[in-house]
Amino acid sequence: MLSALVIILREALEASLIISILLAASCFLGVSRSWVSWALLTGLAGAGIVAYFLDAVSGWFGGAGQELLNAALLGAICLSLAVICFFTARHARNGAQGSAPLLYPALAAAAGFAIVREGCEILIYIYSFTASFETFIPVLIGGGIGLGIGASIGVLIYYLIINLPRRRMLQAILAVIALIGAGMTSQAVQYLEQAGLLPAQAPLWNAGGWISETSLTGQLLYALIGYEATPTPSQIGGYLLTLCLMAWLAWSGAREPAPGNPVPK
Amino acid sequence: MRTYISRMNIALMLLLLAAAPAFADAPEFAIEIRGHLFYPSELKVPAGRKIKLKVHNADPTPEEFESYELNREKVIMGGGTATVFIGPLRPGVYPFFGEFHPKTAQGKIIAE
Repeated sequence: MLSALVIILREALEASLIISILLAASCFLGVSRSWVSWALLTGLAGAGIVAYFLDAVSGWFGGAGQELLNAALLGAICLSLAVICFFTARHARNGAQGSAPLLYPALAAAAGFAIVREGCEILIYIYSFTASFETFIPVLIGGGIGLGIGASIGVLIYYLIINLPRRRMLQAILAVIALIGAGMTSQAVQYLEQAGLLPAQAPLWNAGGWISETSLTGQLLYALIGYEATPTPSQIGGYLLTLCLMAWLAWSGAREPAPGNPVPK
Repeated sequence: MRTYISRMNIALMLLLLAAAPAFADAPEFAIEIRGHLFYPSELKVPAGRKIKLKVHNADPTPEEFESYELNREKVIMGGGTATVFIGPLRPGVYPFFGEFHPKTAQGKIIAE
């Protein structure tokens, strides 16, 4: 039961953090939170479909199907976060003026894809224990508790952020979105290296002596900022590139005048 | 038009050259999962080279081959085989485990 708790907690934490930061962004932007229902519905359905077909998908592209699927999901989440980053920065400067038709779908997409990604692994894990009733119940209970803890941490982060003064809240939201996005890119690069689609590289450094990936701090940092103790140069490059992209988008968004407003000097 | 085509050719060549390292030959090693245990549980591989691991799951239920030190994770459905590339590795010990059955499914890769 404890193993199930830890495993489900790890998976749930990643999705929970993304959803909590997006909810905080919604609160800041004054956007309706109904995208959560869409994300949950489509995310769980998607997770079920992926879990059901994972065997077949894994065989695609000469055995690289699973890694490509994961990299695609991560890329989609990162792209959605980039859109949200831009519009959050723009809203902060211009208030609620100017429509942002991409914002609502981007929020739903980022959360939905995160749920697909984590959900399919949770479903496969739980399914592997349905053979016997005796093993299934502890896994269900442990998993339920793990899910609850993951959700609670997300709720905690949410309230920590929305109780900041407005200017700090904006900075916190943009920073977390940028870091999560960078972590997604780094993970995607890792999957592509695993499948042999990117050149094999030795890690550039080993920070495991300071923060071990197996420690609680390491796990939390992994979920929040994509912490890697032994990153390869490609992973570091992808991470930094994404941070630069996010910074540029936030800066561009903040510079843009709303329709009808004079251009800023 | 002629300049456009030659630029495309150069771009394609560069792309293939960049991908070439990915298609280079890597020594293959096999690991089997049976009864939620890894066979072999200790695998010696050459250091400093890209390695191709073929992990076969002989159990009926899925398992996830995972390692923090190697930065690899892949779900392998029951009866399935997965290919995982690792390395180049510095000499040392790299533990891996089956995430779905972490207490029993444990192993290590020794690069030397």
